[in-house]
Amino acid sequence: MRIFKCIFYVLPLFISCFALGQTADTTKPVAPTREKTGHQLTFSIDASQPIINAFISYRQGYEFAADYYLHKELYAVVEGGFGNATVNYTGPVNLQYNSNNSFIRGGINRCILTRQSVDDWDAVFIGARLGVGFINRTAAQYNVVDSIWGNTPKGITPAQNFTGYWFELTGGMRMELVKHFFVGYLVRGKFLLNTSAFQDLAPIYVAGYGRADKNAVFDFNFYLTYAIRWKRHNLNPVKVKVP
Amino acid sequence: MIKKYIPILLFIVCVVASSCTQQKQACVEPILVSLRFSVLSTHWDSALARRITFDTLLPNAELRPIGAKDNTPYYFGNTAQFSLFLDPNNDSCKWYLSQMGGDSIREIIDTITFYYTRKLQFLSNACGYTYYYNLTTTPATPNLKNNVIQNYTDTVHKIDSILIENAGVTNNVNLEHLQIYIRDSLK
Repeated sequence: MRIFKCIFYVLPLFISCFALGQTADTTKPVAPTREKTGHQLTFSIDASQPIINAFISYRQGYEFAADYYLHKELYAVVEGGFGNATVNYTGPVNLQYNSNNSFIRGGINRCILTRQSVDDWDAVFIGARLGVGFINRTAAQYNVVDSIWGNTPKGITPAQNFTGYWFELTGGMRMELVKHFFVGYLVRGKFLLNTSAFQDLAPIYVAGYGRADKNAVFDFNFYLTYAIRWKRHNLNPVKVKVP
Repeated sequence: MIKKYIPILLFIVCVVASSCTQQKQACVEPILVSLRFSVLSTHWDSALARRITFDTLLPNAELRPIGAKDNTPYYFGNTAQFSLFLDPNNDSCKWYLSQMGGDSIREIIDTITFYYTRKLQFLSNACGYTYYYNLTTTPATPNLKNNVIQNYTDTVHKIDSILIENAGVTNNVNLEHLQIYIRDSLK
């Protein structure tokens, strides 16, 4: 089942790359020079999170992002957000606790789509991120359910604060639907760097990462983006001699 | 031009949203770990001039927990391989092992008391906690040199000895933990 999910996550990216790449090849555009391309700063909210929050009752998450166009189709990216989770399992599994966290990620995006004009800000991205999450988990109540010998008495795992670090590889696209407004998605492969910190009762959900009891997870974002643009100053103006 | 890819985006959103609809993660591994053992016999082969060990099938074997909340017996058919659950509330537990005799009367093999230490183990959020166990060992017995359960109660004396192959009882389902040797006279 997980394999199918992964395919569903990654396949659209390849479809998009293939389709967009074909378009770029047939029109044969000429890449504009750096000087002709202006500045762009974008602000994004992950519109998928409120939808997922509605579908999955044990977690709440909110994510935001901003990126700035550096040069040569390279973008600096900062992302952040917060969330919480509630585990209240009874029955064959008996476990109860709450957790909350905030996170910040930094990294780069590189657009692999050739521009068709200086005003063309549609993009297909690949990128990388480093993320850090600050997580608080309350004391957890548990017991082991045993129908033969009888359930064990309730136990308590003390509250704990975690700091999680992870690395991400990303890919996705975005398109300008109307001037300055984009929609797009980003698929992420995330790899936990300090796995040892999460050995005992890792939180079920860490906003920005996902399941903390997994060392590698796939995730996605569906972004609604607003872009601010301004012209790039000409650093080397050409002096014209007036006769 | 790129706007024609909007359907692709919508498709992605639908697929991802539908793949995420869940209220609780499913536990896909066994929560209670089981102790696995095989039953063997040994006898002296004078022709080969050495002791021979072989699996012993117990006909319609039955394992029944003693002093448990639920004393329902477990029936295994004709087999030499068995599994049972240790008591997570105590450091010992008793199981009664029997087989069907030739005259369709249940014949007691033995009552075995297992001694162990317990270790609380977090499995996952979906499966919660469980206990892992470590079987207690003793230096020697008359029949086997090492790794024999210290205080198993041999009330009927049909078990000759119990060899601990793997003392750690975890969720590794590929390990056998004990070998129980029964006396030749049972055959």
